[in-house]
Amino acid sequence: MNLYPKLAANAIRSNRQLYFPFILMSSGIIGVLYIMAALSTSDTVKACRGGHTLMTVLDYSIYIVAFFALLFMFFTNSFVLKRRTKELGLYNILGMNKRNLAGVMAFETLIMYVSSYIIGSVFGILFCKLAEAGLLKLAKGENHTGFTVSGHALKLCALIFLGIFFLIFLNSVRVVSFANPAQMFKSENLGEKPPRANFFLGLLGVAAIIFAYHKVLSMDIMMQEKLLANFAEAVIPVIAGTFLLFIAGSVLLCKILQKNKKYYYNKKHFVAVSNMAFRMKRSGAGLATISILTTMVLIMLSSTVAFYSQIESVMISDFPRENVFIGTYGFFDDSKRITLADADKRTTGIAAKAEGTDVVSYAKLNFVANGKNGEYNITGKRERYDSLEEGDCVFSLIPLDSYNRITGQSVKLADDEAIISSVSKNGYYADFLRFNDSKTYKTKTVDFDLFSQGRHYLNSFLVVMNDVSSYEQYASGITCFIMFNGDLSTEQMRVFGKETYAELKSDEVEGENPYRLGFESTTRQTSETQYSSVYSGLIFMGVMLTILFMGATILLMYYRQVFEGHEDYGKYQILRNVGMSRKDIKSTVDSLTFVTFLSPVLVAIAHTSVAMYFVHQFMVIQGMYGTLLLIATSAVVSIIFTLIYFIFYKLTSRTYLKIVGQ
Amino acid sequence: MSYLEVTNLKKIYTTRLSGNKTQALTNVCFTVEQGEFVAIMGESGSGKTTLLNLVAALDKSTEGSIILDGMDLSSIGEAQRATFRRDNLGFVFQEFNLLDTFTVEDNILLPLVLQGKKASDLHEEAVKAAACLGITDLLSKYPYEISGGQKQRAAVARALITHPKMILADEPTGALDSKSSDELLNQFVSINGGGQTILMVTHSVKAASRASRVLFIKDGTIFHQLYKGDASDTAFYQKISDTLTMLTTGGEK
Ligand SMILES: Nc1ncnc2c1ncn2[C@@H]1O[C@H](COP(=O)(O)OP(=O)(O)OP(=O)(O)O)[C@@H](O)[C@H]1O
Ligand SMILES: [Mg+2]
Repeated sequence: MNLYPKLAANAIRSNRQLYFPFILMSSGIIGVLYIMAALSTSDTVKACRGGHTLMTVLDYSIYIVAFFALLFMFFTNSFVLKRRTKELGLYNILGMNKRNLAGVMAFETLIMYVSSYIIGSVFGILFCKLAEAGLLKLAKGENHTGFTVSGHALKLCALIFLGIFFLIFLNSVRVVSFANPAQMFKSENLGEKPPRANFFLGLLGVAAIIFAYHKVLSMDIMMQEKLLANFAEAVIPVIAGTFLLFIAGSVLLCKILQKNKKYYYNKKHFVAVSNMAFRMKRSGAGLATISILTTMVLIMLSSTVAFYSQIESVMISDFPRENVFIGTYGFFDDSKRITLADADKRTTGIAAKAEGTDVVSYAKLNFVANGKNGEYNITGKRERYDSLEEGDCVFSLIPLDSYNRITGQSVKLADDEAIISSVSKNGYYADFLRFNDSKTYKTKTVDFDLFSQGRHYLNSFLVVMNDVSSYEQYASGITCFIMFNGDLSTEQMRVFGKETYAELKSDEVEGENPYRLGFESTTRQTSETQYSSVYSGLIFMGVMLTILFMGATILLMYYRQVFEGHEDYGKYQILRNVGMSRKDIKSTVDSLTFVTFLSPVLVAIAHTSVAMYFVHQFMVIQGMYGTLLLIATSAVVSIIFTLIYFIFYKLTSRTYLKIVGQ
Repeated sequence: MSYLEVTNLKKIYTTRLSGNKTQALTNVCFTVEQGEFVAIMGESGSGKTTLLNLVAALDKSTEGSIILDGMDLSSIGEAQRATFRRDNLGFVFQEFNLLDTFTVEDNILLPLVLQGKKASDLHEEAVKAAACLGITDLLSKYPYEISGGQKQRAAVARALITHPKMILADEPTGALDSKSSDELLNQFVSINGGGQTILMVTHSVKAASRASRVLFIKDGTIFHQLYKGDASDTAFYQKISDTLTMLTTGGEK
């Protein structure tokens, strides 16, 4: 039937206020997706150091972006659909059956798909080079290829969006086929009932948020394996709570304000408050969504930027020397044990052969002990294999000889004295140390950076004493370090690593496995590249998702204004007739604006601040201590975001004012 | 000088999309003295609502002038106009124009709140206004919960609550049964007795017969007018009725 495409094109044209922004948004998403897909297979990216990791991150991000794209497009399309139902209802009354309507909608969807795809791809191809340059700058790679078009990315975008648009089409058909024409015709102007304030739901929302905040703020960083799980458990209550807060809580607030006669019967508040009581219930979900999206953007941007800018300092503290070789003897019941003296001898022996400067080597004894303030009980847990609980600390013991050797000092200690360095920034606050209620050591605390390989454990303490042999029986393992500066080729690294490993296992008997020996060799350079490519990938994804979320937020805002404008048109007409001046109306709109604009942002900032506590813990685990940096980053990001949001709010609220006839 | 002077008033509506023009008022001239109760009658589409809207400066005329209480409303700013309307005019709209988001009480109080009246006095005022119109029980209801006639009475209460100098009423009895419309008209006559000027559009001869003068509008001009003088309601009723008959037959010629 030739009529469908005509009707469809006509519908899109006459509803351009709804469709153009939608097409613009889907084009934007296609553009972003194209860029990510193109970069994930780009040779230039592959060629840069850590390119492989970067590409993996990008590859994952594509699916995350696609998922969000699906959500946004569904959500915004439901707005479009709501406004279209009336027109479709009219067609229905005029004699088109549901099948015909589906036909029209199929063509509409097809037109939207094709135009979004074309615009989006052009947009993606144009901006891809720019994005690539940015990414390479972050990942410290080199940019040399010219302008290219990625067939792979084009195909991927075409397929993903075909799927999304198909789902949208199915949803539209579902909506239309379940509505009867009279309902469809009326759907915009159902008689308004005043929303009831639901105390219970409002309180539940607040309670859910408080619960989640409490959960995050009371997290114990010692339980690092549970950290992410705990955070994830807090996310759902926060989202649910935010929705309840906006939907029920806001109605509740309006009701309370209405009870306050003095406040309510004031020219400035009268119309705004009663309007809001009605509005919030319906637009509450929209505001909550805006709030959550904003939170995501804020968290993502602030944390990735803060992490990225700390990589270098972490690398220095993680790698006091450029090349690091670490062997760890793990003592299990069936494994053969080695004494610390023996381990130390082997370590220094092999270290003597190292071709480099500033050679440092030592061996330390590890065990886990539970307690606080100087009193500890050795638990017998193995630091790497057993999960740590509250109060568990990792102790590493080093004989004074080794300490003096490494630091080049000649410190003397009495037999009941010990030097303690806390590897974590948690610090050691007692002036004595006692294990298992036996011998007491007087302690003094010192900072020594050369040993900072303990960033995996937060409460880890390095203890120097004259004689550590009495604790050998408790040790869960011994770690040997060899570190030195100097440019080693990959081959040299491999050879020296192999030698070291062989030496550490030197009393191996044929056919027997003498030790459980873990071994790793890394250079600061490789590690740094690894980190920067991961974080630059994350930042990149953060920026892409931010663009997407921002776009979605702005579009949502825009649709809300258009919708509410059409809804409120009559209302303001009446108010003007009753004697409200344009200025009064504008100030009413502004006070509504203030609340509806500010509330999601304020809630998002509150959520973000709490989440930053988690991010901070996570950062500390990664051995990053830039608390101030994190606070500064999130503050700057929040301010910038609020500004951009505000500008767009002003722009979209102009649409609103135009519609209500100001 | 009269309270209201309308001279050579002309109104042409232009539809925004098609650019079609409709001439709603061709040439309207009349005056209203302070304290008069004037009814306006005419066929549907003859331009009555348009005229009221222009008098209240809710819309702009194409040509002609309107002087209200010695002031040319079109010459002052929008904000002042709104204030003038709020303080001096009470408008009863044909479509009631109640706000869905307010209870009946809050709808009635809207003009007072806009005037900045003290919150503590408001409830009492609302109860008083509602009592006159017999809608005291409905104060806490929302517009969607009440009938058309009840909405109309609420709209009248809203127009009367500020004790305006002039009341502009567009078919205030259109949705009322004969008993309620009699009560409403009694109310109008009584406030008119107190000095408030009333301009009322109506299709009902009975309602018009309570006024002191009736203007007949046809094809956008004042076609004829009748003074009540000392005549009784019944006598005036007869006169109006005759004029309407003449109007329709005369119109067909
Ligand atoms: N906003 C408008 N745009 C275009 N034309 C209009 C508009 N309002 C009224 N008209 C036209 O102006 C003419 C007069 O309309 P008006 O509403 O004044 O009639 P009325 O006398 O109040 O009729 P009724 O008794 O049915 O209320 C009509 O022909 C109408 O179609
Ligand atoms: Mg009318």
